Formats: sequence, C-alpha cells, structure tokens
Amino acid sequence: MIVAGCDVGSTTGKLVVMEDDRLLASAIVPTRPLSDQTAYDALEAALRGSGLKQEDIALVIGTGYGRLNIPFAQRNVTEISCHGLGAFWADPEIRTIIDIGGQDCKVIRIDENGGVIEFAMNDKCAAGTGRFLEETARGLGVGIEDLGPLSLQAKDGVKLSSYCSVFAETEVINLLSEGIALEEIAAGINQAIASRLASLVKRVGVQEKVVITGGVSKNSGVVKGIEDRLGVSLARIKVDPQLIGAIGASLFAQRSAQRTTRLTEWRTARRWDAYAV
Amino acid sequence: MSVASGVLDRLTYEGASALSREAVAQWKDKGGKVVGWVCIYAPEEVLHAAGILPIRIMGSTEPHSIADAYLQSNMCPFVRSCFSQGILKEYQYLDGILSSHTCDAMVKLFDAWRVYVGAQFAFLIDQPHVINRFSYEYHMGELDRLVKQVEAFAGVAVTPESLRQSNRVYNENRLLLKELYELRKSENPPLTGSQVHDVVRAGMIIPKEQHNLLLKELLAELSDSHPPKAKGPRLMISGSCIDTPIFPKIVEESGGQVVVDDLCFGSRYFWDLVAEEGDPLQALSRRYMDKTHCACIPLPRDSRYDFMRQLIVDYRVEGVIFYGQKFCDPFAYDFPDHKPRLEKDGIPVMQLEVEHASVGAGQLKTRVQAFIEMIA
Repeated sequence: MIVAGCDVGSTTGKLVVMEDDRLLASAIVPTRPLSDQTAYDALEAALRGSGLKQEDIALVIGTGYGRLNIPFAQRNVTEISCHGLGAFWADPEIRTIIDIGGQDCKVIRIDENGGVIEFAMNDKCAAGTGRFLEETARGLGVGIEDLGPLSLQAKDGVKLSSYCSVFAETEVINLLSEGIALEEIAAGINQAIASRLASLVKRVGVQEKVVITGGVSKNSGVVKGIEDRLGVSLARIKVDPQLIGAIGASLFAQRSAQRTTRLTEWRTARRWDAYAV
Repeated sequence: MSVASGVLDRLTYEGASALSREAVAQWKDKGGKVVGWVCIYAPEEVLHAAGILPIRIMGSTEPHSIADAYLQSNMCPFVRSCFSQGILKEYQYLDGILSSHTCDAMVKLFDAWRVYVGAQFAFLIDQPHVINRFSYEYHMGELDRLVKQVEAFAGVAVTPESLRQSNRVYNENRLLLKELYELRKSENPPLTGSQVHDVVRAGMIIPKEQHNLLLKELLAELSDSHPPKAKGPRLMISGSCIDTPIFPKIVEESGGQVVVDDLCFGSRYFWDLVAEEGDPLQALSRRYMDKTHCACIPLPRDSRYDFMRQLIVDYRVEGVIFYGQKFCDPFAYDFPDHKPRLEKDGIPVMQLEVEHASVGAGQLKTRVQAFIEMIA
C-alpha cells in the first residue's frame, strides 16, 4: 500500500511517499507562512518526476508544528512519536534520538519496538535550535551551511553564551570587531549548540545507538561537538536525517492503514490493571 | 464527553466569577467584610467564624506583564498573575488578605500586596514545614494569634460555637466535593476534568453555604445522567496552583481524560476533613498540620507519594502529568523524588515546565499529545 507522511516544521516542510518499508519519493521545501501552502509545496515537489499521482496515496499522516493544518492528511501524530518510529525504521538498534529542528530541539528515547518511552524538549526558547545557527551565521556573514565546515578548521574555538540567540548574535558581531577569525567564532557557535543539546540528552539519559535528526544534523561541527560531549559516536543512517519525521508519519500511516499495530499491543500491556495493587 | 446540566452552566469559569461578584456585592451591601486568601494553608474557617466572607485570590486566564514592574523575575507565574489582578484593581472589594508562609513566593506576594495593593487587615500564618510535636504546638500558637487579630478586625468574637459551626459547613463542602470526585472513578465520568476544575474553583470564590447548595443540586442532576463513552487514557495532573481550566482543557483537546488531580485547586484543597468533636480550634490546627500536604511541606516525605499512589489506584490512572510552574522550586524538587517511584510502579510520567498556561499553548499541546501517544 502506498502512503505518505508530511512533516510541516518551522523552517522546512518534508514529505515522503512510501510503499511498505520502501521510500518511493521525498521532498524538502522551505516553510511558507501558512501550513497548508507548505504542505502542498512539499506534495508537489515529492510527486514531481516520481511517476506517482496524489490519487495513488491511500493515506497521509501529518506531523510537525503545522500538523493540524495539512488539508490532505487524514490524521496527525506528534513529531515526537514520528521521529521515534522513523529513526527505528532507519536503524532498529537506535534507542536515543536527538532531533534539532528550526525552533525546537528534543531528545527521545525509544524501546525495542520504536515506541517512545521518554522525551525532553527545550522550553519555549530558541537556544539550542536551528534558529540559533541562523541568527549567529547571519551575524558572522556566512551561510548556515558553511558553519560546519568552517568550524572544523578552528584551533580552539571561542566561548559563546549558549542561552539567548539574540545576545549570541551581538556577541558574534563583537568578536568580529575584535578581529577573531571566522572559523574560531563558527566553532564557538557550534559548541554552544552542542553543549545545550548534551545537557538535554543527559536529562533523558543516553542509550546507544544515538542518532541525530532534523536540519541541524547536517552541520558537521555540531555533530562532532555532541559526540565529544556525550562520548558516543552518532549513528550514520541510510536516509537524509531531515526526513526522519516525515518517514515516521508515513510509517504510522502504514500501520493505520493495516490496522495492525505494535502500539496497540503495547497499550494493552500497559493497562492499569496490569500494575494496580 | 460530559452531560448537560443547568447547575453546571452556573459553575463554569465565567459563571462562577459572575456568582462571586453578586455574592460579594450582597455581602458588602449588608455591611459585611471580605478578606482574600491565597494559599490553601490559610485557615479561612477562622474568617468564616467571624462573619467575614473569605474569597480566594487568583490570577486570570490571560498573562499580564504589569507584575514585572514590581516583582523580581524569579517569581512563579501564579504569583505574578495574582499580583497583576491586584494592581489592575480586580480585588478592590477586599478588606484584607490572609496568606501563609508556605513558599517564598507566597510571602513575597503577601508583602507586595500590602505595599502596592493595600490591605486594612493582613495576616501571614507561619505554616511549619516540618511536622512534629513542637510544630503542632507552634501552629496552635499561630492560630491563636490569628483568632485574636481577626476578632479585633471584625469586632466579633470567634467562639467555640461559631468555629464549630464553620468547621461543620466546611466539612459538608468537602464531603460533597468528595462525592463529586467519586463519580470520576467511573469508566465514563459524567464531567470532564476541566469542568470539575471549575466546580472546585467556584467554591473558593462564593460563600460555602451557597456552594454546598449548588453542589447538592449538581449531584442530584448527575445521579441519573448517562454519560457518553469516554475516550483516551485516564490521566492525573499533579502540581501547584493551576488557577484556570486552560491546562486541563489542553489535555482534553489532545485526546486525554483528566480523571483526578493532585492540585491545590483540586483534591488537596478539600480532601481532609476537620474533626467535629473536641476543641474546634485544636481540631482546625490538626487538620492543617495533618492534611494531604503540598511539596512545600516536605516532611514526612512519603505521605505525598502515598496519597498520589492511592489516587492512581482508585481512579485507575494510566499516566501522570507533572505541571511545574516556572520558578516553582518546591515542586521542582518534588519531581525527582516522585518520578522514579512512579516508574517503579509502572506509571508513565511527564514533567512540564510552564509559564502561564495560555502562553506557548502549541508547544504544550505537542508535548501532551506525544505523552498521550506514548501511553495510548
């Protein structure tokens, strides 16, 4: 059965089309002001050249911040559950997922069935997220995609405040005026994110394998910073880690369509009468 | 998910606020005094016995930044919200304030209220944070001091008879609320969690006698109702002062049912009765010292968890949401103690740290929905 998952995030919209466990088509598009516009953009981009039509898709599940406003989605599931299941599909040995998106970051622990057992999220502030990178990269005058490669050339890196992205941008401008090299500042920016994330991971606990998903997973400097701080190497997966949420949504669609779910079994096992005295 | 009820319409958030305004106006017309109380450790029965109308001070459904001009930034959103209402002159009718030293934020609110909002009568009861034979005696001394000051302010003696009568009225209220909570044990509860929240809150802002009558009517209406089939996992909210139904509503909109709570705007307010025999003031003191405590009274340590666990079993709770207010230290310290105990008992838990419940509702919903997906 052909199904799809659509993940409308704060910065990008992602859509994947899958048949059973196979990825047929995918797209990543920039987010537009309204979620439904982003969703249609992503759908169009994914179908383009794939030989597939919208009518071929039996069921769509929406996720991400815009999940309630995806006109062609029949149901919605939170990005937390989707990242859990999506990462589990990418590598069944994964137990901890670090997802860094445009405006939030979360750490999710999953069990041996891909079900979420615990999660933590940043509290209502953009520190430790892609937005922090965007702001500071702008202050630095480089593209966000250059931050990773640049930072890897640094010797020590500078120390930057990891709390407020607006203040961090001011700090970047100050450092530049002091004549500090670009790569040292870029390394400072990535370390600031890595240190925020490492604390969040410790709140939930690290269990290997650990994977990093979301847009910021493409920043090699942040990835290396997190690896150093946690003392683990992050798993490399077979697909673009930015698509994991949408893949999870499409796997939920698959399950929903088949009406057989491990999740239901899981619920039954967790019913109150099993543990009430 | 709930049944239609005429009484319930009067006990909604807005309905109860209107009833409260009417009741206060009538009370004042008759020349009566009205005193605001903030924390559930304030023994309002003493006010009642002196013919004063006790009204709980609470915040509003919207955040106001006016408090930022007076309070430091590490005060909890509840205190900020209450204080804003005072500054915005929503509590002009109050003749005084009765609060307790439960947490530091409560003391700060009391101080700031006296200075910036003003109060003819102001009393802060020093609630002991450790329960032992010395502190029982100390609390009794605090109650004596309160009685004397209330008597002087009201110009009325608080006699053993009048206090006994007040204790009786309050006990009746508690028993009626417990009867209402009993209905939530059902597979299909007749009221949602947010509706119950409103009903309990109503009792804090209207005369107890009036609330008792309304509760009796409500229980009679509910006794032959046939609630529709309930959906979603049965959840409990645990935390400090949730003074609006916003959060329980968020949980319900996210697909969960709130079947019971461990909140001072819920069970912790009315769970414990006062003994009706013996010296009424002594009995009142024992009630406040031995009640189901909040996180501010850390000793004895196990009693809070035992209470929570009993509710979980009795109400067949499938998951617990810890609602932590930003900067609420007592509850933040509570969580690391309760989380492993709950997990050992097989109960999924989630901790939230929230500014005002109406701010960042989208993010809050994502977390609550994910938690519900996790256990559903």
